[in-house]
Amino acid sequence: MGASTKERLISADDHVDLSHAAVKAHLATKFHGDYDDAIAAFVSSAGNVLSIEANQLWRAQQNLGPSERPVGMGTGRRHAANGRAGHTDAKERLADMDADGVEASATYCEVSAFRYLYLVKNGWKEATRAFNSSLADFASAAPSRLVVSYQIPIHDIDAAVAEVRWAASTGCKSLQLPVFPAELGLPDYWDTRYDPLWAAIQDVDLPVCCHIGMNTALDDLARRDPTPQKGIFVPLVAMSAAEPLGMWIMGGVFERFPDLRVVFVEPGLGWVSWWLYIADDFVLRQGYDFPAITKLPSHYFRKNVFLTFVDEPDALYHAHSRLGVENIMWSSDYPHPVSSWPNSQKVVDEMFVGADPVERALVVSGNAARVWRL
Amino acid sequence: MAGVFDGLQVLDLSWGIAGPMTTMMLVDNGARVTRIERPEGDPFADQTGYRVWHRGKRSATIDLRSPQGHTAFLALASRADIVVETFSPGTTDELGIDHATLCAINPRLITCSISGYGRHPDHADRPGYDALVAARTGLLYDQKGRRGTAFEYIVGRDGPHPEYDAPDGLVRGADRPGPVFPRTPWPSIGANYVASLGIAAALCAREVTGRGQHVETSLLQGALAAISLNWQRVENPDATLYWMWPIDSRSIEGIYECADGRWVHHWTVRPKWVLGAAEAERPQDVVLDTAYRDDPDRISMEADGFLTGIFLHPLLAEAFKKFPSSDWVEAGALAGIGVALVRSPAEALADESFLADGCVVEVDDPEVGRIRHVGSVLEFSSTPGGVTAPSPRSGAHTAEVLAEAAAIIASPAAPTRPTTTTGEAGEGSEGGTGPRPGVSLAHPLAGVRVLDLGLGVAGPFAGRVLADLGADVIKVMAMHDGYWSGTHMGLGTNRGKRSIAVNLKHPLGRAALDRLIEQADVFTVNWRPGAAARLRLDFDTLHARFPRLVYCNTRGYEKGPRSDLPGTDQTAAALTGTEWEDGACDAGNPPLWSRSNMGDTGNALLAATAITAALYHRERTGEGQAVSTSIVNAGLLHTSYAWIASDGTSADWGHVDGDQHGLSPYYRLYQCEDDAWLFVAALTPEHRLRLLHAVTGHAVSAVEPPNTRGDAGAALEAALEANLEADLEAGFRSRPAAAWQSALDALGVPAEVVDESFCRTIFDDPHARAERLVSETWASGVGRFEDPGLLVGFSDTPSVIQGGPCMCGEHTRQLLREHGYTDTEIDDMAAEHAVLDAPIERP
Repeated sequence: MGASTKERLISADDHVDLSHAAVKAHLATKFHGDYDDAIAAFVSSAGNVLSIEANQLWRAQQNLGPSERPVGMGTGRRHAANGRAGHTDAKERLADMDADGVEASATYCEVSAFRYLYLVKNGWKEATRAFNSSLADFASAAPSRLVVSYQIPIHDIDAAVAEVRWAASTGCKSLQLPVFPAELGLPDYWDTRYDPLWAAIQDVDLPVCCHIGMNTALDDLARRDPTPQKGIFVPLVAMSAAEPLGMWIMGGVFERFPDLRVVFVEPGLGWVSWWLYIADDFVLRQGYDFPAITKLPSHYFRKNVFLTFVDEPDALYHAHSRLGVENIMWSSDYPHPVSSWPNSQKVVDEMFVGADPVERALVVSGNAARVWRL
Repeated sequence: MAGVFDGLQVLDLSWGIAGPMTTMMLVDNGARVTRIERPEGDPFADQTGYRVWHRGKRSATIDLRSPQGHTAFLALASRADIVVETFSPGTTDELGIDHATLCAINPRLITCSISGYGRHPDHADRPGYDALVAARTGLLYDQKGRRGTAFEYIVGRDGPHPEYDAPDGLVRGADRPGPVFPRTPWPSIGANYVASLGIAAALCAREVTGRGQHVETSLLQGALAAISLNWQRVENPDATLYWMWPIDSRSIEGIYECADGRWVHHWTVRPKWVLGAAEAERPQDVVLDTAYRDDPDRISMEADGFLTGIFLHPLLAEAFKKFPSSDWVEAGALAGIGVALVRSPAEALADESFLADGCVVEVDDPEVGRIRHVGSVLEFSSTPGGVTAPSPRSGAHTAEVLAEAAAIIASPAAPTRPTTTTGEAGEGSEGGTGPRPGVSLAHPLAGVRVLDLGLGVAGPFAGRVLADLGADVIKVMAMHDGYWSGTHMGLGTNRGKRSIAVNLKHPLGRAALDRLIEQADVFTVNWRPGAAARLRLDFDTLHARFPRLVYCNTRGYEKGPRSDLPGTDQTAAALTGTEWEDGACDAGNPPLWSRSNMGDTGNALLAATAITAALYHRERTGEGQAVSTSIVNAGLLHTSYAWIASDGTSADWGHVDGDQHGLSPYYRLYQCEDDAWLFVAALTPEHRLRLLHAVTGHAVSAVEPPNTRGDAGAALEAALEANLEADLEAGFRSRPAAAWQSALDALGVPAEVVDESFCRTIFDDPHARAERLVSETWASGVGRFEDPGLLVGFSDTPSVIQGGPCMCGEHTRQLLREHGYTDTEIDDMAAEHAVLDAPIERP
């Protein structure tokens, strides 16, 4: 045990891209056809609202005529981390982390499997297990450094509980759940149908991660957004996390399961600060009733909720004003366009100029170490 | 006569507490122990205990990270018998001195590792300092006892009579809620005991297999050893007799202040005698003619006794206030009742009776002159040990040791000394020729049969640990022992044994015992002087008939005027200074009898170690002998950080503050924003600087390289010194404890949240269950029975949990059959009440 001189960085949000072939390697051949069918069904039903075609179609429906330049996601700049082999290969990832001075990474799969796994006609449980097993394969290169979140489908609570228990038994450190159950046609998280799942998760002491990414309720806006990288739509996706935040907190989930840890991944910080102010203000000044909870919304937030952020200069300001230094976690977001890779140490140094050492330590590693028990 | 470990070569790479104490046991008993010190020094070098624990050893400074130093160490290891180390996990691999490497060059080598948490995946990387382990395991919450008892807390219940609080005026330790810090480093003490036992067991096994092996324990296992009889989880905690009050934080404990302001520990509590004595002219005038067991006015250990104690407490407190402590101690001695003065360690070491016994010795220290400290705590009739030399100056033997290494390197085929096993005695040994392929041993003490006639906890706990080493332990109980075997203490001390209940006053019962002795390797009791001789079960009588028998009779006290008194965990803790220091009496507090006090269990672990060492000796010579120790010996080991000069002045070993937070602002408990507690152990200047920067809000960056800080850092530290404690207390109040821990982890300052509920979670911890750190067995009455499990691991001859606790007379018939009795004979013996045949159907 010695005092280390190099700063410990833990990135609370990075990504891995799993191939369907890797998943199917863990799945009996007899299920492969149904697995492929489910993916096809998901792709066709979801459509790609962010495509150029979707915008053109919407413009046609609105009698707007063609735009001056095509709009759609994926037309932005290329980034240093873009296309790195570490996106898919664990050994390469570890090398990239070493180069970046990042000790451990909470890594989420690019694919939101719970959006299609329940569509697998025969063998959806097996497919879920196969998906999580392939995530575990990735992490197995260095389980204490690559913290993958096993994805838990929520349409069958008994099966979800079983998957959580299995995950815990394999040494899994993190779980990922859909941000918006309503997208899947399911009740919101305050509904008591989820209670056995919360009880199990609390029991095995794993954090629940909800990665902000897509919100199909905003499809119309996505189509309507005329800007090249959907810059009007994208912030709204992050801010729509106010909905699940409210469901978890004001819906009383933390009142009933006080030891749950829920991580909102990449929601942005500043608006949450306002949201917390107004949520408490509803109670304190405006006479709102929240019958499912006994304390102010901010109490549950501070105790149960964690937010990741990427390179936000006002992070500590928001933490001080309302969010709590213990509740925010720095991330690199490797290998997405905003990623600090390969300059994370430098980015952190700049972000924390003059900061209190404890606050810095908590935000760049300590809080993550506590959340994921690293 | 040479010590039992005479001829053994030990390389001691340890630091801290547990390792140095373990090798002290080896050196006291004849081993040649060489401390290998690092050139950069030992961070614990200024603790007072080093002057005690390193006595008789050699000290050589060798840099294991240099090629020359590494080569020299390997050469020494090639001729060594034992290597003891306390590195964090993985360090021996890093240094190229792991067991596999050393074993390849010396297959007879025993390596012993004492880490913080062993290989537990959730804890192994945590800093392994004693107080931090006591925090992380929640042991600091057990010091005063838990409300309702720990085993009720573990199953989430309040315990009997939840409406009652502790009686007014009953204060133990600091008068505040929350965890308290005891002076005694219990996890290290526990680890020292089980490491010593493990080494002795591995030596024993080596005589059979010819192979050395890796012995492993940890401060976590030491903590489990210390709290062993408190942490139990049972299926039916309402089983008759199971619950006992002495470890309930609300219960009385017999500690009372006398007229002279001194405290005495009166145990077991005899209210009739106390109240009667208080009414007399002098308490010395009142005698009691009944033994504890037959005293109708004794306070029973059951729930009703708990209420009686609470009711009587103010009366007892008032009674003790009437006379000075000296009167009460003398009165207790005259009446044969346990009343011990609560003494400081300095007073204990000044006790001439201890010096005469040898449990305290005087040595001439090269640096501080003539001093007194704990003596050799294991006693052997044929192979007596003793303290032979003081602690050496650091590096005093470097040249000598390097020359030995050079000689080995120069003539690798010609050992510079007779190898290993036969020592100077030589005769009777088949060993010494190296590993014997094909000779395997299931457990270190497989094939050893132990007759355990121990009483209470101090006796039978020795049998329990011998059973865990694979011995076949037969618990010889009295006919009436059923009242005890189902209690939490009975269950905690009798795992893995078989029970025979015998009436020794009946000729047939006595004949049965004699037949058991014929086939026994070990005979163990903890009777008062004379009792064994009256029953013709003394060493001389048995040794004459069974010269191979290892005979163990442990005591409560030193051999001297107290010998005939009832010796208990409590009285020894009072006499040796443990309660004084744990309670912070120097700060004006009342004494504290820690619920993890290891008086009884320490006596038992010492006895088990002595027995195992004597078996090792017997393997080599064929000779049995008598071994012994005492609860006082254990107590003196617990305060062995203490030494006094021959003029009576004390070394400054550090005392706990009155609030029982710790030993200094850098080594203490802090309460945080969420009211949870954090223990900080900032032992190095670097740690301290980082701590100050972090908590007192100074703007110096924590990641600033140390060499740029220099004098400014020292000046900062000095400037803050004045208000240090208050600033740190206020600072810690600004964040939750868990957040502080994660921040200090990131900043490299050792700290640990005090986990009150560790004792609950460990029973469901998959690693703890898989590694048998917790044991699950079954016992009559309580059903499923879980308690701390294996305390020391062996790579070649694993330890084992042989089964649940035995009940009184449960195996009488089975054992009598094994010893040649027919069922008809057994029926007749049972009918005549010569034995109790009480079989139990186990699930």
